[in-house]
Amino acid sequence: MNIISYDKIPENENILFDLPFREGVGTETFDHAKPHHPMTFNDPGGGSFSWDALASGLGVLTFAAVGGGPGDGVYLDCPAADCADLNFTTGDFSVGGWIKWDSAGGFSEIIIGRYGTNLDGWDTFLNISGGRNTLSQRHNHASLTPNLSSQCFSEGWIPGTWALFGISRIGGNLYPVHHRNGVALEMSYEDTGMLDPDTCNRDLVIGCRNTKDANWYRGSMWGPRVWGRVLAAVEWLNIFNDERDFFGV
Amino acid sequence: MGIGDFGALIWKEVVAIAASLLTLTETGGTLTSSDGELNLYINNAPADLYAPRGIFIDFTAQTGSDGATLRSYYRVKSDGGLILNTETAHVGLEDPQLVYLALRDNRYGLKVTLQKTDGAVRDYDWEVVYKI
Repeated sequence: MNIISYDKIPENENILFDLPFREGVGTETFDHAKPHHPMTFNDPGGGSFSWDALASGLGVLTFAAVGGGPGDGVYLDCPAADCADLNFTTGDFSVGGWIKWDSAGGFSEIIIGRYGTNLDGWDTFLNISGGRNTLSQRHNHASLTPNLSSQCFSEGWIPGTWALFGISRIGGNLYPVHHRNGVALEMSYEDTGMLDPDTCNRDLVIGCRNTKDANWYRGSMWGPRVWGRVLAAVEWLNIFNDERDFFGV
Repeated sequence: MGIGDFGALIWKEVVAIAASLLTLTETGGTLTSSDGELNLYINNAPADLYAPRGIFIDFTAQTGSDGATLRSYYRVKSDGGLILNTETAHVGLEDPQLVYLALRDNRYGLKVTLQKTDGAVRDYDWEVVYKI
């Protein structure tokens, strides 16, 4: 039997966070990257999680929200003290994973972030944006007031459709690049470009605003991942080609 | 057979070899015990046949007045239940402190659980290695 180690897979170089959602049941899920960030399931009351199996047999995690108000959704989080390695400021980082989002709520839906809105840290979110279906990346930097945050976005993230999102950010470069299914996308940037996030000491959140009371992610997700380096376009394409058959894409 | 056909054959062999590679993967965490039986590790519905190697459980925090039971369960048919396979009592101080439970190749699901039987609630670090 031929074996390759997870850590030797080229795309996994310097991977810091990886949730392949293999548990399939219950309220535990485990980080397969070396840091083993402890994750907690949170159900404030209205929403629900479900473990669903695709036709391929791959298990995914579905986030259901009943509205946009406090307590209407569900989210995962990791305590700030246990994810300091995801505090990106001036350096390189990449974020990605498979999403199939539901825009029915009509509000921005946070995928993943470690941030305080207009304060510090970084986050990513989806929005129908008048039919453009955008994936936005935001760097929060209160220290640069009055410029409290900088944003960029890509378009065409169709709700109800599985897609691999990949964000590559080169430290010191103002123009991160988004990828969909391994292909680099045309980007829109603020005039300033993407300034560095301020240092952040907050919980990592998946599926909700940093205040954990809004902007609920609605839909399914698999394999949210974070790297402490820049993934090249060919690496996003390799990941897509390796995993696409599970999603029928 | 032309050069192009040979190239196609070689490429198919390369793809087949790549597809046969299993990825050796690891994960872990820390479980805080309770009177109830709690999951240490679970893969409830693998997408494919996979080969868990084993799980380490660190009993360093367990004192002489503590006790815990470690169990493993497997699902051996589609839509079946998780059936108890192994059950071991760990009473008092463990020596050596790191316990290893071998796991079996599996297609339909498995879980490893821990349940406090005596003494205080303790934290148990664990690590599982598997090929998938």
